[in-house]
Amino acid sequence: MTIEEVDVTIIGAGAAGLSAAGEAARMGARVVLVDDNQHPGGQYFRQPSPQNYKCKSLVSEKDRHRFVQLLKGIDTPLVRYCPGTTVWDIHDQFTIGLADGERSRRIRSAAIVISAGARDHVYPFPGWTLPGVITAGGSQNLIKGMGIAPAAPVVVAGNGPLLLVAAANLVSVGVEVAAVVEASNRPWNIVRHAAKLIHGGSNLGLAIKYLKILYKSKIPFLRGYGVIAAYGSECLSAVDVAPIIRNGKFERSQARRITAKTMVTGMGLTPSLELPRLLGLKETSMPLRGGPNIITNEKMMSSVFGVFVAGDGSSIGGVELSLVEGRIAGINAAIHAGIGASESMQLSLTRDLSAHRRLCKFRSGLERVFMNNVDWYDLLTPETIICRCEDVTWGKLHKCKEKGLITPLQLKAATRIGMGRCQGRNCLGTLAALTSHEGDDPTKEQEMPRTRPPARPILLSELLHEQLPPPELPDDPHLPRQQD
Amino acid sequence: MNANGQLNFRFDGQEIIGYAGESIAAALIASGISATRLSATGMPRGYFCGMGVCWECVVRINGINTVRACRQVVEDGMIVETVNAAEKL
Ligand SMILES: Cc1cc2nc3c(=O)[nH]c(=O)nc-3n(C[C@H](O)[C@H](O)[C@H](O)COP(=O)(O)OP(=O)(O)OC[C@H]3O[C@@H](n4cnc5c(N)ncnc54)[C@H](O)[C@@H]3O)c2cc1C
Ligand code: FES
Repeated sequence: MTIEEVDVTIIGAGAAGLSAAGEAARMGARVVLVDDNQHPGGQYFRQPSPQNYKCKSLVSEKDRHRFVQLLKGIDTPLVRYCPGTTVWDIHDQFTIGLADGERSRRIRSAAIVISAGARDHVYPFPGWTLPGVITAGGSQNLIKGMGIAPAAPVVVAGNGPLLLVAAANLVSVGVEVAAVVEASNRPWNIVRHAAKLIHGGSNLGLAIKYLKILYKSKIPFLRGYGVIAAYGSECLSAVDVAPIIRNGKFERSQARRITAKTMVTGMGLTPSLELPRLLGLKETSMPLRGGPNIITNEKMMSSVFGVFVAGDGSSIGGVELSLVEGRIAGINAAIHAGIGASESMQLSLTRDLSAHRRLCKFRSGLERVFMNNVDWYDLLTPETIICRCEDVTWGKLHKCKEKGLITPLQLKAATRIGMGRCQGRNCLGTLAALTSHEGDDPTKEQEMPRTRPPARPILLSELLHEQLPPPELPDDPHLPRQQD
Repeated sequence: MNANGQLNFRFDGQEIIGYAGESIAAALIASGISATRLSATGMPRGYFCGMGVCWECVVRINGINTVRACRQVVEDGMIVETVNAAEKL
């Protein structure tokens, strides 16, 4: 089998990936667009299940139109769209490994755009594994994508803009929401950050719309509070909420109980970094933009020459920013592949760059509205599950530490934490934070379990069908192999 | 499947109604079922992330143990069952 060669490979067909593919194709680049979902659109432009849409549709006319435009952009012979296909390896900055459920194959290109999106970040707390406790994104997927309302009454609790969107959407489709619990006590304090927020344009209008829905609904809105525990036997039946005091700890003596069958939770989103980490792209920590972020330049190029990263998979910025970053990355990836930009493409790039600056300002204002100093780890008890796949509790980790096993790798070997099916997606962030909390030498960088292929679970049968020798494992995936 | 796109499958023996295009997790939640897996230590688990990354919604479908209910679309006549993570050991 020969390796397929194209100009640009784009990973992820969400807001960022679709716009990158559209722009690269508009420049005349041959593009492969790979996405492991069956349908294009990613987490935002989700296609509702057609026949059984019980909820009122939440997709606005504007978004419907924008999505049609995005699909038109990739409807050209220049773009080969591969749905239901997972990128499980990026061998080097030119070659990626794909698996489509039946076989695995490779594609080589002059430039790669990684637009793999983000996922909800949830700090563990007692009872968070109970059925009925779901993420804000999970709630959005149910009501927006499936037209199905989660079991009521619902408590919405956590931190960040997506949580309020989820709360407002639940109210809009008529679900009984018992309370909205936001850790920051500043969500109404938009005025203070107005100078930055004003850059948001229609984004700001949307945020105000959501706040209005919540305000009108008269649902109890607890600011500066958090859920300290969830209860239930087979599934969720109640949660305890408590105020957060100055030092970021929870005031348990003032806890009160709220009946709930569903708890929608999340403390923001965090970029999905499996693929960037396979290539060892340079990262930086941006607490207000989802924690670990990929460093990119104004072309959206990462620390590795020819690898572009766009959208929430690079830094949390929301759908508008993802669309703009996707366009910038798409154009620059095509230029990188040796395709000249016409004057009109240059012009649209300039426009996108100024939109990018404006939206970044908005985003930093928005994040400041939700900023807090909560010590979420204050919620841990010995019984709290940290690793959902292997049922490793905080108590078990603590016992290991008393025996002198303190690094993430030692704890992994001793408890199997991070070795389950989710490949550490649920727990490695927590493990890193908990071990650095009490680490002996804060100046020494934590040795975390490495990211290795497969970046996503694939079937052995898919690999067996690969007609090429398997890739050599790089010596150190954290070291970029070729620098700009 | 009937004209409304309605179809039927079984979850642990119970007849469940689903609709074309719906995920198994969504159809179960619409029927009031949220616990669909038993963890390594026997705790009930279910739909959490809704996007295929947490693996908490894993169910057995027609004998295959590793299907994520949030990513699998319902099909007529599917036999869906709770997976007990402890059993495999
Ligand atoms: C569960 C969830 C629900 C959300 N709901 C909303 C909402 O309702 N409203 C809102 O304003 N914002 C929502 N967000 C935020 C939203 O994700 C972003 O604003 C926006 O979708 C970012 O676009 P993107 O293109 O960067 O990523 P995404 O839209 O997430 O697209 C990334 C795509 O890459 C694919 N991918 C990832 N890794 C691989 C791989 N290895 N191989 C192949 N394909 C891969 C993914 O399957 C996905 O289709 C949600 C986020 C999450 C996590
Ligand atoms: S709900 Fe997380 S993988 Fe299905």
